[in-house]
Amino acid sequence: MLPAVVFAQETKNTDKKREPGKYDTNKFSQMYDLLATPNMFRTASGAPGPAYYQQQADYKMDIELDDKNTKVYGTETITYHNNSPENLEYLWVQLDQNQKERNSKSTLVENQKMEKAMTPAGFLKKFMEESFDGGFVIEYVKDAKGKPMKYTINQTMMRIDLDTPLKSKEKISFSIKWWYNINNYRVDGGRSGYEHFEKDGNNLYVIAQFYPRMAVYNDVEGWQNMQFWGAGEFALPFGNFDVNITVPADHVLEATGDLMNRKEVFTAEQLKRYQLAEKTYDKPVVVVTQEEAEAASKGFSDKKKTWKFSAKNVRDFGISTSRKFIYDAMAVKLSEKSVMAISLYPPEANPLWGEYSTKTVAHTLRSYSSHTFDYPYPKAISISAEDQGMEYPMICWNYGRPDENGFISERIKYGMQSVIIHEVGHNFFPMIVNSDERQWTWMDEGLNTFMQYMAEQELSSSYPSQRGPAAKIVPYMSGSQDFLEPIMSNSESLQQFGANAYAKPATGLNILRETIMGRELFDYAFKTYANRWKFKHPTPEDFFRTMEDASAVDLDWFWRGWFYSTDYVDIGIQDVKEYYVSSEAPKETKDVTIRRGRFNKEDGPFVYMVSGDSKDLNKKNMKSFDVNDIKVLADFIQEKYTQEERSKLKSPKYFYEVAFDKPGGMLMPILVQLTYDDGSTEDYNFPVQIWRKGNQTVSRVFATEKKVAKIKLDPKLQTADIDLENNSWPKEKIKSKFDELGG
Amino acid sequence: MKKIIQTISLLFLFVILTSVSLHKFYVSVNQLDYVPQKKAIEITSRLFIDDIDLALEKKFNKKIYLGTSKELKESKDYLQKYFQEKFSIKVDDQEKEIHFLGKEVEDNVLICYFTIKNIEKVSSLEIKDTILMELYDQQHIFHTNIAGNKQSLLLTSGKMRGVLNY
Repeated sequence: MLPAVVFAQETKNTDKKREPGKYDTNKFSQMYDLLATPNMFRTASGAPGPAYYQQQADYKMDIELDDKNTKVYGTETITYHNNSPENLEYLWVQLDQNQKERNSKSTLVENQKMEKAMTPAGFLKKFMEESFDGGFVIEYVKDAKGKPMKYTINQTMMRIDLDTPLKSKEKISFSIKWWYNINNYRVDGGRSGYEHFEKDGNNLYVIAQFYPRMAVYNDVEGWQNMQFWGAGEFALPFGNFDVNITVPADHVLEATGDLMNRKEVFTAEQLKRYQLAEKTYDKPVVVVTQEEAEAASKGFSDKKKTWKFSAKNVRDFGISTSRKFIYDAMAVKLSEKSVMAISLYPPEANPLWGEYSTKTVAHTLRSYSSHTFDYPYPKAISISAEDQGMEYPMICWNYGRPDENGFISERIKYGMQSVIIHEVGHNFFPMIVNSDERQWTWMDEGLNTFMQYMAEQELSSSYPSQRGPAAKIVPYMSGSQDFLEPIMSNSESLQQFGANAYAKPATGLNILRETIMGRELFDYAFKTYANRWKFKHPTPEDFFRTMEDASAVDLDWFWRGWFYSTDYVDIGIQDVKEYYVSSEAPKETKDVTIRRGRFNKEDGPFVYMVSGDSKDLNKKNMKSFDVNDIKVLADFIQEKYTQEERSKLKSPKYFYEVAFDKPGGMLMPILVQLTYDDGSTEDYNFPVQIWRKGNQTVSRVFATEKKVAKIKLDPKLQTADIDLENNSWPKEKIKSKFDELGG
Repeated sequence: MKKIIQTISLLFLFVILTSVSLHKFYVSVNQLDYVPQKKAIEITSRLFIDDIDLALEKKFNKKIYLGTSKELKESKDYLQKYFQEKFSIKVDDQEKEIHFLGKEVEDNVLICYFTIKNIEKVSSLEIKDTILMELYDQQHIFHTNIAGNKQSLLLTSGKMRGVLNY
């Protein structure tokens, strides 16, 4: 097709200095410069490729807790399956407890400054007390025949050297024996450890990262070889676990997997209650009562009990045990199966936990399953652990209890429900859709926070969600660039961890779902990603590509701006001009010629659009348009249109040209709301491609039947626009809280 | 049970808290603007409400229940006393009075509004903010806008005071 407009050769002022050329900086450019090249392992569609493989690690463990001395002892036999096409000369095992060693390098990389004021306890802890003696003590590493294997420990990683390489498609078994001191996590920190109750002297244990774990070996990283510094969490292969856990006989315990010997560890009464819970779908059934927990809390049994668990296709294993535990459970119906929702909590957590925990677990499983896939594991457990919020397969620790006077504020109630939704939700990302947390916190935290937002809103449309709505990310994104880095930054390098890796990606996905793609296209693509990568190891590229591949919505501009940069959204109204229709040519348009086709020239007569600020505007034309006032038009209609055709013509009365500019670098659709003088409104949504030429400004013409009283951009705060001052015409002073408060 | 978190290193906080869905990053975000029409400096501070609640409880030996149905009537007075001690600003080397106008609650954040009156011009600002530093390794980010000149400042327990020149 030939362009209708013919440009004259531009004549340049030859004195002007020539400008240099440039590379392509268009924000719609496809991301060949940023994404890894697709290959046989991972395809351009975002799906696992024909050569995709993943390793498997199976564990048989015997674990014993020494409650008196707060130590854990363990032996394990790991069977490692090398499904990769390569032979492996050595194996890497993660020793996360070593991050708590006295000589841990984690403390040496802190940026320290002298604190000018400290509490006495703080001073003692910092300068005088001996630090916690943590870290694994490895007693042996032996091969299947019992022969010691050579190993080297580098901080939180242990390399096991093999006499002969582990061939592709072969497996190897070896055993490790170890112990470590358990940390009081409320004093020494940590994602696991124990909470001590002064009142009755008991401990509540949340035990995780408690065994040497196989690192991931895959097609993008080789061996996952980044140390555990504290922020970047875990990358773990899937496998099957058989775990025997020995604890004092008066403890109540839960862990990842099916409990294989319930009859041996529950009383006959408790067993009956549990069987009732398996058939109860509407509310939790108390299996271990508060009275039973309080009675147990008064003693300290010297006898032992062994709890036996078996878990299939999980990437990790967690345990919680205490003699303080109340236990309740209910069944949850998913589309094709039923699973159990379970909570364990000390009496201090009631009445809050008895009422809300298990029901919240059940809601989470239903909501997340509906957006991804049916929860594949047999159960999900919520453990009450103060100051915590941490996830493992089928089990998680959550904060939130009444205060010491028994008062439950709304903040604690919602905080506790939110943390339960979040941590139970992590079963989907990253426990099942198993992204590499050590590299990319956002891949599980961001996606999970987005899912959490949907689950909260499905619980109640008035749920006070803290992350998800576009407007709530503005304080972060409008901040100084010194404190921002792109979402696509390594987990350890984030300055504002929660905002960067949780809130911003969650908000971005919410904007895609509600404003850019629409729910139908988004939900299908998101579900496709979850199903393609469940029980597998996806990368960021696999997510970005699937979202486009399954929706036919090009989102490279969005990933570039929202995930790979710290650009922010600021779109404004630059100028609004009202136009009047005239049959007389104003001076500035007098010489106009309108070309038609390639060769023909129109000589008139013309209808002229005269802007309200033009000097040539004739006062008599300053009125709403009526076709009968403009003879040229009236005659033209009379001559060329039949009666029927005339009746279908629209009758615009007012004409506006609105120019938009874009002080922010992040692209967004332009959402415009016109408010007419009678108070009615009309919404326009100009797709983001309106910026596709790399233009800084763009304008649109509106022909309306009613007079426009007000124009507003992004009236429902859907785009995280950081500056609302330029979002309205006529300029609207944003109501200042200071004025309201009499400042 | 009382919280026993004392002065703890930043890394340690990361260790306890990173996987948590809650805030647990001890950072406040503050916006400071000079408004020439009012000859006033306006400051908006966003602080985590449970942290402030605990700070008031420790200082006044009394539960204030900020942002809950049981909030004490005189909570604003307690806050004012607390801020007076912890937050000060010099404009062009002169200590100025900071008026605490009021507060509102947004989710788990307490938004506080402050104003400094009778300011003809601002060539330099010295901000001292030790709010919550007695409890946590608290950091305060200040974004300032003085007649379009935008600058930022990070205050930490190692650097409680900072100067900006315009």
